[in-house]
Amino acid sequence: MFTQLKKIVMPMGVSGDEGDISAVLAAEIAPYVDKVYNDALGNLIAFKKGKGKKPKKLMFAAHMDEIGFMASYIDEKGYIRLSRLGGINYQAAAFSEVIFKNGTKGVLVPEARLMGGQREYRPENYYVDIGAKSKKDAMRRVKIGDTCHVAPHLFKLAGSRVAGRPIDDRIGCMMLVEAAKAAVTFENDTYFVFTVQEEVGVRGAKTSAFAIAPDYAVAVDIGGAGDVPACAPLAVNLGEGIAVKIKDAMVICNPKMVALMKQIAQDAKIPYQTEILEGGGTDTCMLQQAAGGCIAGAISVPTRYGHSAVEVIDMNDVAGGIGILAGLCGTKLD
Amino acid sequence: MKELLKTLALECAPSGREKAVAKLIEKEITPYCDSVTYDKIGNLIAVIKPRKKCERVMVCAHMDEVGFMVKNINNEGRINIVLLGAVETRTLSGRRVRFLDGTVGVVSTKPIHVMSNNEEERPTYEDRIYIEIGAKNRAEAENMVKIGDFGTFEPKFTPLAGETYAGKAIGGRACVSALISLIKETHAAKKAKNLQKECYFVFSVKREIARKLFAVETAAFNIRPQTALVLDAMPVCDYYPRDEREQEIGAVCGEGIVLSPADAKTLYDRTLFASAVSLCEKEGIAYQYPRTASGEGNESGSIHKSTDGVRTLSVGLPARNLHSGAEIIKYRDLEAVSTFVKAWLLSNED
Repeated sequence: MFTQLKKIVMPMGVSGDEGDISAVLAAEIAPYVDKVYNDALGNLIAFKKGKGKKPKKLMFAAHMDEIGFMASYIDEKGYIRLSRLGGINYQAAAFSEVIFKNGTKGVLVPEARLMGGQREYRPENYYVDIGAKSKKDAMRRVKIGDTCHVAPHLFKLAGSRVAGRPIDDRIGCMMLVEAAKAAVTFENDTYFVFTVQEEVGVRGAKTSAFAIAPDYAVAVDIGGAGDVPACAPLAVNLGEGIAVKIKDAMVICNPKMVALMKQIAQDAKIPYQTEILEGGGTDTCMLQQAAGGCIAGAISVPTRYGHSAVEVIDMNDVAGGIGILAGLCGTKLD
Repeated sequence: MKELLKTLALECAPSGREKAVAKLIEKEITPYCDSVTYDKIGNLIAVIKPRKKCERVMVCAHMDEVGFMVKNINNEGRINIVLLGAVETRTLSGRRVRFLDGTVGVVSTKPIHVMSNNEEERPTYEDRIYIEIGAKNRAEAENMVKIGDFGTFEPKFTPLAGETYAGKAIGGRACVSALISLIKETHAAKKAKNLQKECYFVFSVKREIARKLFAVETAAFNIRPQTALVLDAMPVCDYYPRDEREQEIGAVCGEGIVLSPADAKTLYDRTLFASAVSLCEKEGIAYQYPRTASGEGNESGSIHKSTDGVRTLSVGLPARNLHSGAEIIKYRDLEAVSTFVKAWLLSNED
């Protein structure tokens, strides 16, 4: 599963520019579904027809975009200023290798005056040095509007744990692919949606869910972990099971969906936890409201150090999540 | 277009009361359109399409402007107001304003002579300003103005040197005039059997009072375009000398249309953005980029997320002093906007 995850973690897909990762995911999921297509905003939708008469519509959503940056200004010396796309933690992103979509590499650094005692981590105080000799030189390599990200990577830690970026939310993308692969039957018309622009405000989920108008929907994303030093209290521990979301800052999950997923987990002896996140949100909030509204919920992969270059998860939690998704595929919804 | 711009700029259309400008636009465009209608929220929608089915494109510009509404009339006959939209509050005091029925007043506040240093630095907030209409008491004021009445800055159109124009709401109205001119060209293209897009032109309402949910969304929902182009004034930060702080300046007045790759509300369609840049290069249209890719944003924020998604592009007209009593634009920027939208909509190359 590590190799499969790495394949899905490495392609670039900064919000609004998800073409590369979309192509990879389309190829990964195509053998297990009937149809794969992109919509106007770039959401990748994989459809599998359900059995029987008048099956209900079940939609899974995992966002394929990642946090990153857009080149917004190139100065006389060829240094590149950025605008951020998504919730960047500049403290975590500083002094990193960054890569533009066309392969150009650079380093993300704060202005020299910030390197002393004074630390104001404001986006406008950072720039990318691509080693260019002049503005002209830089403009040959990078254009205004080009996206870049902190270099992706993935490596194994002790036991079943892995670290890297962007695990948010390529882990969810992988779980959708693996669920499509693992599902024994499809009792519902099932839509596996790899959404765009989640990190800048759950935008792709809105349009894809409008078009699909699902009866049931489940988002798959990373969540929090409450088992690291000096963190806010959160009853979620890495390795103790996939988390069934009860609520986050943007949604209260439908109790019917929460109960259904818990039931599937219990029946299949999958360990699970419940998640109540005070901050942050996921595609779930849009799925719930789209078109006429639907019965929506989410599962979260317990994750440490989200939005850093060293997000840490436990692959055992992931395996449980895939089990729940595959179980939903095989459950006739009414 | 200059005469039209002047006429449009002298009309008043605070958010929610756009009728005067809407009527003017309606009269101007009706002879050129297949249909001209209003939706329930008040957006004015004009359609020109060829016989055969083809790509559905929506081009929009908002017709409203910032203004105010009367919220209270006090015993001294002074008018307390709420502001409609992000009015430039720092320059309000002493401004002449006009209610929609023609009553004129002057915005007043505490004299600068008795303000503490601290107060001087602060903008003029709503709760510290009122409108003086000369009434001696509440009864007399109520004969002239009612609670709920709308008003705007007093309209004035001032040509400056170098085809520079100043006036309230001139940034928005300039975009409206470009859209009207585009409608006329589209009509001509249809007559010449050169029109290969179903064109929906939307003059939207209530843009200025919206932070996130724009009224134009109802038009986008009904039209369900495949592609949208949003015209709007773009605030520019060119008050610094050019050689200082260049990074903070970005786009400037007089150097062409502003093409945004992204702003806080929208990540523009990458293909449309790239082809807009190439179109400018090819047609020799002056263009520039905004200061950052995380600027405030415009109606695109609602349009691109409407229905199952709309590929969206935004074209900005650089303007100074936006939302004040005297916004400033350069006519050559407006011409660039106009040239661009015609080339973009009516050229039939792919």
